[in-house]
Amino acid sequence: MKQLAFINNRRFFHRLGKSTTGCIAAAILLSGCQNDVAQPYNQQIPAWFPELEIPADNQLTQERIDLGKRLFYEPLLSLDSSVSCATCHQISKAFTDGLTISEGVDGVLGLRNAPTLANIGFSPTLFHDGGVDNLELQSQQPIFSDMEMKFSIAGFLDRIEEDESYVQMFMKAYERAPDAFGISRAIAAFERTIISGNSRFDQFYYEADENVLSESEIRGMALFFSTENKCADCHQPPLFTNFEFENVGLYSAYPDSGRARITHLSSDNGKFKVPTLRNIELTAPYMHDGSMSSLQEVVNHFNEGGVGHINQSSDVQPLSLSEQEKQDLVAFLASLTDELFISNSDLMY
Amino acid sequence: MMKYLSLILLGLIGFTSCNKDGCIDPTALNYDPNAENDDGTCVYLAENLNLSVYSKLGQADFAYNTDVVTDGGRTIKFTRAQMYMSGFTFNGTGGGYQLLNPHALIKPEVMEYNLGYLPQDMYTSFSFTAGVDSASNHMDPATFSAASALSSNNPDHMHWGWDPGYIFYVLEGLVDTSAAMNGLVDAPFIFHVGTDIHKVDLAFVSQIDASSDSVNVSINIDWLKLLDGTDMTAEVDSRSTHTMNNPPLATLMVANLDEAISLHQ
Ligand code: HEC
Ligand code: HEC
Repeated sequence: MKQLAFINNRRFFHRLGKSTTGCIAAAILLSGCQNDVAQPYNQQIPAWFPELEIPADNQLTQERIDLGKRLFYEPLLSLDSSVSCATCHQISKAFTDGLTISEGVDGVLGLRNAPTLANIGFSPTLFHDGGVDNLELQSQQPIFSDMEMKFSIAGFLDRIEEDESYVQMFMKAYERAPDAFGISRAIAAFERTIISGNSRFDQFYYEADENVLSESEIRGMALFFSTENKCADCHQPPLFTNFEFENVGLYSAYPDSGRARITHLSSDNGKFKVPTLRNIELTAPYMHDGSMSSLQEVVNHFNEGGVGHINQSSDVQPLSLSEQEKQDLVAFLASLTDELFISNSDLMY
Repeated sequence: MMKYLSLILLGLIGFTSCNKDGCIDPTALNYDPNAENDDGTCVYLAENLNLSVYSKLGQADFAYNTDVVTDGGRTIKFTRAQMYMSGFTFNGTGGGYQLLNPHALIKPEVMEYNLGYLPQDMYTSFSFTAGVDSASNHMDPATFSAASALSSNNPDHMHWGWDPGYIFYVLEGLVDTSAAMNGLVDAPFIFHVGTDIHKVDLAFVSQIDASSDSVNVSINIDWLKLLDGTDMTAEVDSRSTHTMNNPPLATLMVANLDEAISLHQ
């Protein structure tokens, strides 16, 4: 076989290929739609939160969120109609599943612990290793994954073909028949409404309600924010994460290389996205692999300072917390639970 | 089809309205309604550009669930084999044409793939990418039209659901991993290979007569050859890669593409 010099004369084919016409068609469609777009959704975000960035092709509307919620709770999206997103992301557990490692169709084990979806719309990257950077793409992944729903969008579309109510919801939300575009956008739209910012900590700290935290919790808060213990360097309020990737020294050799799976850099070995600590009391077990079952265990880990992995953050150092201080820290973490969030009927189906 | 023709026409009208020489045939791609004298430049489309793919296991025709022996002496059988091809490019006397679409999802059980259309000409070579071009590889699969092999509406589409994008090549099956090679073909092998660095550009010198409405291009894929150099043992890393978790095995498979894909004579 002979290698050829690469083409230099790409005439109109290159410029007038199908994708160009596709763009034009999309542009026409888009400008055509603008007038009929449903009422924008009035998003309730705590004043102390950063701004929520929303892609231009998926501005929030009530119709989109309603459809996304139905899909999020839809077991027909899985091979044997047994698993929905909500199987592993349960509202009562702040959108986690309580398992060490999540189980998909037929109980097949995944690789990691299911993270909370609280405030997920603010996260610039998704997954413990940050392997995806937008919710629209992420929402398609579990449907196809053999370890999750083990199915396909085409298979789901066949199942709902006869369901007029679905067709209508898709038309209202995205002015198109049910398809991958609508499914992925709607689920992402719903996910952007999964917002939690009304814990007792918020009431105390941002709304100056001095009576909501106990003395132990207040002492724990001071320990958490202290420059010595450094918790808040990584778990920065108001979202309680800086969204960086860090190695906290869980193992001297990590079975799951974490961020390095994406970057292929050995310096990223064992680094995982700093998780939010909001609703942390509800999201046990902890860490990317669910290896710690209680907050006491996690606090002990940070107090001991990690095992000293070569990539371990210099911010994870032995602390000398007393038993009382450890208890206070755990008490503070529990004040990050948002009771209204887990009983919010807008997020239930 | 009319859509694209009229777009091309629109462009041409703008530039050639004062010219009296040009293509005067309304069925041609570059018909000029203002031209009065035909200057012999009319270009026509070959509207049925077909790719025939002959799937092989060595010399034999491809078959699923059939014992074959790798160059490393392992008995294996395939249960799944798929590959994306993209960026089909044709070089002729009138220049080169690169098809932005379609992306073909090659499966052994399917032999014929419609690649769309090409200006009529005599072509002397063609090339394509085994894998998905980098631009498409990082697009959201939900944004392709449902007819595209890249669309997540398509049940066969192969995407990881995260940044590395599409899975370009899938080879799955069972292998006899025993040291004595006792004929028990029972251990799974999995090659899910992708990421931008693993797409391979392949070029072929071939006379392609596209002077009529239909054009055919034929290639062979030897799916067994893709496993050359592997020694699939009890060690899972020797027979399983999802690319990111086991790059060397992915690279090994990709290095075989050049020889595994050839012109069909
Ligand atoms: C079988 C259990 C399971 C199912 C079903 C499931 N997920 Fe997940 N989800 C997980 C696990 C485990 C992770 C962490 C994966 C990783 O980091 O590699 C995750 C991660 C996520 C993340 C990223 C969170 C973060 O903090 O980065 C989002 C968003 C998400 N899932 C949404 C969904 C949606 C939407 C669905 C339904 C279409 C869904 N999940 C179905 C288990 C599941
Ligand atoms: C260098 C940054 C960093 C510092 C400092 C840090 N953490 Fe973390 N924390 C992380 C990362 C990264 C993880 C996830 C690690 C993993 O899954 O492997 C984590 C996990 C946790 C978890 C479990 C979260 C979950 O959902 O599984 C808790 C609880 C926690 N940290 C509390 C603390 C406390 C309390 C402190 C201070 C004593 C602290 N962290 C200091 C980065 C940090």
